[in-house]
Amino acid sequence: MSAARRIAEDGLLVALLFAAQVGLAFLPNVELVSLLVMAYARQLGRRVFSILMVFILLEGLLYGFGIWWVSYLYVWPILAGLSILLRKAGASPFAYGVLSCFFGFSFGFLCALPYLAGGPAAAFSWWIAGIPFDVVHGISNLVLALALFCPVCRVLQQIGSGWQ
Amino acid sequence: MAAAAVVLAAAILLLFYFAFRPSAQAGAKHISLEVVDASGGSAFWEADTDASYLEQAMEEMDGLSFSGSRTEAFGLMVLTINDITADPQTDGAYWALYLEDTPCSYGVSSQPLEDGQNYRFVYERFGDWDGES
Repeated sequence: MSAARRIAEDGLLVALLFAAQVGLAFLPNVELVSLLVMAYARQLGRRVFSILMVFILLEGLLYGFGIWWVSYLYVWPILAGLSILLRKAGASPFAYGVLSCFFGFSFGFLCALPYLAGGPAAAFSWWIAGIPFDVVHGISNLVLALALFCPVCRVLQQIGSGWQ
Repeated sequence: MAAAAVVLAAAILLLFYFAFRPSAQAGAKHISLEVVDASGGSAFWEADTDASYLEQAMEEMDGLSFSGSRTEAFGLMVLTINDITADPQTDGAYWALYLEDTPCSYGVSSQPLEDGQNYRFVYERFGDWDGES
């Protein structure tokens, strides 16, 4: 694949990821980013990390580079890395749904880590306050992944001849 | 098996939440609220209240009006204060709620009150916030 085509494709995939995030921002913790990250990781392998870095930069430019942004530097790559491991293990789409669910459940915990700078109590209270949102996040991730993961992967496969 | 693990994980998380979430202080409390608008102008209220949560105390403050969208799960999301609207969907802005200088972890409906607390609502545009109030 030529470098130009790859850059263009990556740009489109970043745009899709970003549009999915902004488009559903009005729904608390119901998002398609997890689904797309897993699908990208499954179809593109390690190439997903460069897409994620641009996406994370765009998030910071839109919403501001607050403490929350630091957590984005590792939460999405963790999900992508685990998805790549599932791909290597030949896991079923259902396994990606379960991964997505537990990622949602642990999202607040992972995002609380930068708040350790303010002391363990600050990080702990921040995590506890967000638990109801994490439960919504995990369950909605599971439903969305079970419904959409296979179709999204099929579409990526169709438009991505030459990937991998 | 996986379904059971999901239900178990959700149950454990909710157990943690109900075990460790902060509870409101009963009885009389004195709190203050400052509202900082888009131009940096501010207005200030104080209240002596028995309310458990911030929303109830705000309702008792003379000259303060507020409204927004309410969901059963998350309570009131404040969009308008004293006729100044900061709607993330249409204005690219929001009313940020601070306790002292720390962003609140809860919305007004579930922010527990304690005596002597100082709250601030600050009109902020996306991209403004840098982690400091």
